[in-house]
Amino acid sequence: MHPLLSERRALVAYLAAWLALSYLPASMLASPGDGRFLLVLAAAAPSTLLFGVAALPVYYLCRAVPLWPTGAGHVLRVHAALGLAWAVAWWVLLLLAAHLLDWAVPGELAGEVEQRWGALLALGAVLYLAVVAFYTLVVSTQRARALERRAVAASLRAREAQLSLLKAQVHPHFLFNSLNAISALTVEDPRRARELCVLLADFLRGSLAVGERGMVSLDEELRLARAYLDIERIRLGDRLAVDIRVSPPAGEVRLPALLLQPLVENAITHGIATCAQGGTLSLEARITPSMLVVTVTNPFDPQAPPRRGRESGSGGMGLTNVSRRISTFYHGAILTTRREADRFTSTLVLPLEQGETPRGEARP
Amino acid sequence: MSPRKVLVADDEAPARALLRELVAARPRLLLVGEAANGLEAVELAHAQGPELVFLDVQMPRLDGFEVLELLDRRIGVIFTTAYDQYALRAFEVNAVDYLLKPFTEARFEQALERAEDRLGALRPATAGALAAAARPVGSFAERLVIKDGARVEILPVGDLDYARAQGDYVELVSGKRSWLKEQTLQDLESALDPARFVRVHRSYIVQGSRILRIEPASKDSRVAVLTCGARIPVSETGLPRLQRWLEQGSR
Repeated sequence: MHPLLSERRALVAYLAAWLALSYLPASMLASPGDGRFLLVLAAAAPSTLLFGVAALPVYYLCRAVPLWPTGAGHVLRVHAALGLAWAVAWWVLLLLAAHLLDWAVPGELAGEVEQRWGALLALGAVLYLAVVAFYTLVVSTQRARALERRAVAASLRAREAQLSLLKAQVHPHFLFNSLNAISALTVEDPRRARELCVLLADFLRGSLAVGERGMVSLDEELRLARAYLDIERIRLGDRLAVDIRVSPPAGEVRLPALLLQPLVENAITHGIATCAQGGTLSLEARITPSMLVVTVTNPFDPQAPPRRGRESGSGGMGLTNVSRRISTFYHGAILTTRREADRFTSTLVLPLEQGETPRGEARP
Repeated sequence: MSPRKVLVADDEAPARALLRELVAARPRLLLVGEAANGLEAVELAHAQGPELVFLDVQMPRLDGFEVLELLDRRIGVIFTTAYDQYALRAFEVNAVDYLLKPFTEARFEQALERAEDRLGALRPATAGALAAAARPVGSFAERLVIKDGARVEILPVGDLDYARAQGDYVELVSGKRSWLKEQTLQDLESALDPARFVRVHRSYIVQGSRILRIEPASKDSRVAVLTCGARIPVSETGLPRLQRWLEQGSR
């Protein structure tokens, strides 16, 4: 936005300044003590004011091709040419005004203007350069401020993303139910209770470090998934069976930390936990020459009670988060889901090259 | 004094074990059953006649609120769940208490005391009112649960042709089958999505998409003929409602 046109007071002050500046050419053409000085000033004022108005768009030029910090030679040449044209135009206007004055009040002003063309043109050029300097300062200040704002917004967004990821990862009900299981096991089976404490700690440590960890190998990611599934197995008992199959080279592929976790949690909370008889969660990971394919399959009860309240659709939320994350990490990664009669399958396909050299996650 | 009969319903084994242990430590309580899902809970309650039920909210088959709807109104219910967002609804459906997992033994004891004060008192709300209170605001029932003796029927609302008021009950009709449920037609109407169901008569609610045609029955009365063949009377106040529904449907 133009710094002067957008604010009336600034514009008025700017035009007043140009009117005042007409003192400079006037004093070159007549001495201030002279009786004709006021007339000369009156002749110089309109052209100088017009010169000031004509200089207003220079702002857009300064913004489009900033003199600083890029400061290239061609930018200087553009300003030199424009400045010269400006100064000549101003001088011509001044000459016209002088002729007009000479006609109204006979005198020698036009001759004076013609004679002093060099000094007047130089003055015009200096005034033009002052305008360029002013706008350059304005533009660079605006630019710095905009950069700062953008940086603040970006870091806010990154933190928000991290927080929502965390919230999506560690469901409170999972935490509270696990604590309840620990509380139950302390008397019945203290060793199991201790084991569950350690599993829960492992899982939380892995989840909370999501911001710092960035990329992890599939094997590391699956270690966390196993800790999670071990906890669920204590809670769900023999209702949960787990079958994880990873073809060896796939385990070394690196991927964003906790990318698979929502798929696994979804398979439990919206799948096996809804089945009275339980079932098997199968996770298969393999690589083709160009991609990593991870498939998670689980049974679900199509006649499960409808979910009530806020947590409804939280599974959908988890999958949406996965989709959003892969779209910021990869070109051409896909998450697909398939719902059959009583089986749910989610398939994650990650391209390998980009997977190994990802574009990187937004850092807080 | 004979001990209070207690039923525990939770789909997580450790959670059941905890309640089992807490109940076993109190001679005034007697554990009569443990259910691992909602359906089992209703069946065990029917068979064992407990006075007090510890009920998890999220379970397979039937959830805690659906179980409560099917339990005898004299049974005291204490919800146990990790979700605090259910607390308010639990009290709206007249649960005795609401234990947030994990809970202390002192808190468990407090819930028992509350139960002692309330035990034997009839829960004032009917099943239909319970169902309404258990539903999140602005949403409608996706299915209806009905208890027929020891049997539990789950009727998706899409399968319901029409419902008829029968005294303190509603008769739910789906094709050739029908069930009686202790509920007012008013409560049922508020549970059903008005975009799908329309009250055509003081005593009838019809699933709009089942209407084949509307016929005059006598000089100034009409009937709606349904796809299942049933002829449902349309009252003077029901007719404009039905016409409004049809207009909305054709849009």
